[in-house]
Amino acid sequence: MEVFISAVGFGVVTASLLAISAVGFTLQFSVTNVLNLAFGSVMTGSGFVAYGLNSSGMNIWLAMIIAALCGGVISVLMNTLLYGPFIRHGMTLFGMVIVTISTAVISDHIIEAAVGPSFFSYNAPAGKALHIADLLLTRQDLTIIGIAALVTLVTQLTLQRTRLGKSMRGLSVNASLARACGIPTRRVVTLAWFGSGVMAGLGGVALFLETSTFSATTGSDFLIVVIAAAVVGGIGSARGAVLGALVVGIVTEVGAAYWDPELKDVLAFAVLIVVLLVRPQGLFSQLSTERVVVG
Amino acid sequence: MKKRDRRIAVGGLVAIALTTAAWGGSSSSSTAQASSASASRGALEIAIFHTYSGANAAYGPEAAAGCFPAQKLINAAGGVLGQQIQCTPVDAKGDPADSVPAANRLIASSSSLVGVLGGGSTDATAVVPLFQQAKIPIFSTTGQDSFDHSTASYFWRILSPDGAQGNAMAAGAKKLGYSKVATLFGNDAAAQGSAPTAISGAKRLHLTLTASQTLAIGQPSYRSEVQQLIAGNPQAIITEADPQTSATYFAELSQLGKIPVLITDPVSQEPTWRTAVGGAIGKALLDKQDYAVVAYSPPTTLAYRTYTAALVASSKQVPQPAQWDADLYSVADYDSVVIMALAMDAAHTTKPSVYNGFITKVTSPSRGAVIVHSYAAGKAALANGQHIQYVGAVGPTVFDRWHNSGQGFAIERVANGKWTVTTLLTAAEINAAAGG
Repeated sequence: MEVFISAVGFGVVTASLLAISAVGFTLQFSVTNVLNLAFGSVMTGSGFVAYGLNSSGMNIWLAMIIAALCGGVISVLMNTLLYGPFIRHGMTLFGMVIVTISTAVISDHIIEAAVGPSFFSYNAPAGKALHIADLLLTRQDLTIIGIAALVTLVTQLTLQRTRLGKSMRGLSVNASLARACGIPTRRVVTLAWFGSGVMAGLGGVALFLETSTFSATTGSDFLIVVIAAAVVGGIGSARGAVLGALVVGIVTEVGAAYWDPELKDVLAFAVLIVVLLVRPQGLFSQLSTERVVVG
Repeated sequence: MKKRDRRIAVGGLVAIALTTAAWGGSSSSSTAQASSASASRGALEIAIFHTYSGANAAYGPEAAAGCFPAQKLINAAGGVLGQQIQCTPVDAKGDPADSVPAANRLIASSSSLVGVLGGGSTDATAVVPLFQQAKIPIFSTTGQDSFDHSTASYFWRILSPDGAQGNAMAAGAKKLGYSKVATLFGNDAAAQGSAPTAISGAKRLHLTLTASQTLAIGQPSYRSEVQQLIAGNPQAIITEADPQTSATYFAELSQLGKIPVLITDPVSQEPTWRTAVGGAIGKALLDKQDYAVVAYSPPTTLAYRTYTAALVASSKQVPQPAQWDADLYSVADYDSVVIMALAMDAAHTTKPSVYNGFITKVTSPSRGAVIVHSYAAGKAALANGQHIQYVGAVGPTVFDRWHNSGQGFAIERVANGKWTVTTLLTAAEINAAAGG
């Protein structure tokens, strides 16, 4: 039983890492319908901003906040300068996927050219794990769980209780109708990209803290699991992204504890397939099926 | 087509072109550039056909740290048969889907290509046949056992295969006095090469295996695996995994328990591995706990000193050259280029299909052969009509009929910032692990 509880605890940490990024990924997708496969590059870019600040002596958590804001700016610039022109000229959903893949590949190469083919670590030791009941967690783990909870709560409250959130939800259901109703779509879209970039930044730094080392491709390497969590939860749903992250995180850790650790990914993606067989739209999806990209 | 539509089409084409450039263009462009440069100077091209981008982007610079010092010394000695040597980086990307077209482009575009450094564990099986067909010698760093009895006559391997490495790691654990060990290997092709013999070797040597883990590489966490490992309380971990996986695993091990002695392989001597793992758990702790089982190449030999001096002098092509001076793969690549150059001199031709047959003639011990430790000395001896045996920076290279050469093994660890030999492993000790 102790092993199981520990594994669940470890799974919650992994889920928190996934949730921060998955909520950001799904928030932007739900508003704009752009499957941004350069999200991992934003995570990496922000992670390196935090690295630069941390290396010059700044506390890692403060560096994380600044890096997250930079992630927001990078994300907005990515949309304004790269994606926007394609969307305005009627690029299809599939076409945009190709554009975002191109952006991811180019961005990763630019980062690699800038930082070199090496590995980097923050100056932020995680310390020894604390025994909390049968759970083994470091202070860093607890902080990341807290950040994930806060990000989810703020996103959920923004979507449910604010004018901006209502506008975002309106856009996600029917962009043309939202525009006709007077919703300033461009501003809402820009804010969605900014929020998504901020969460990519937070997720990137959190991931790099947990992996203890990172390179120019670490963010992109992690993206497939982030997308898996978002898809399991139901792409477009913040609640779903968190639930998807919990499913993926806990399944992989419990699987590693009781099964062959080599196959932890296999187990996670088997769950993904089963969920999609039963609920093709994911656990919580609220998106319309006939959607166009919004810029 | 309307003007606006044309703009979209142009934008799309630019995106595709940029993508193509980022995915594969770098190799072709660098190849073409170097080829034209080579042609204009009549230089002989040695391709550094390794990974320069992605997660294993350090493999290319690692091989370059062997090639460029050799190029420097060979050209300083007047070149090969009056022609200069030119090392050309080509991004193989490490994945057969990319490295096969890159190899085909290289073969098709370069008329002056005389040799290749390349074919790592992930793509050797795909690209070696291409260079075999093109009759270009390829000196590979793959450890895969599928090449232990390879009939590819243009394939050459200086460093010991993974199977021998795994046995040596098990023998190393025994020699260091540990009886309770765990094995920990990544699930990639490179790490899996030595895993089976490390495990079987440990069993043959009657070591207690407390855990035998194969890790899915590149995961954000290995805490459950770490907890299982801690439960077995091993005295030492026999391990090989990529830098990212090793760093994450050992950082979590240090959070949840204590890091025991690590029995590693030459991968742990690579600068990227040490940067990643040292950054994760602390350089001092890594240096204290890490024992690397590596091919024995005494750092005091004339050949090694010649290499390191040329390495330092190659800082224009090899940034931060000192980081590679203990990297066995770089040292082996240096020897590979020198061997190819000496074989060309011995054959009196730079034609790859001819000089390939002279590679064993300049490396094998034979009666009356003059032992040489540098290209210049070998060239001079050959000019005097003498037979030579090149004993390079990795020590004697004696190829078997399958073009494999194995060295003895040593256990090394970092002392005062330098790798130093702790003890040598005898053939009997390794044979005991191998069941021979």
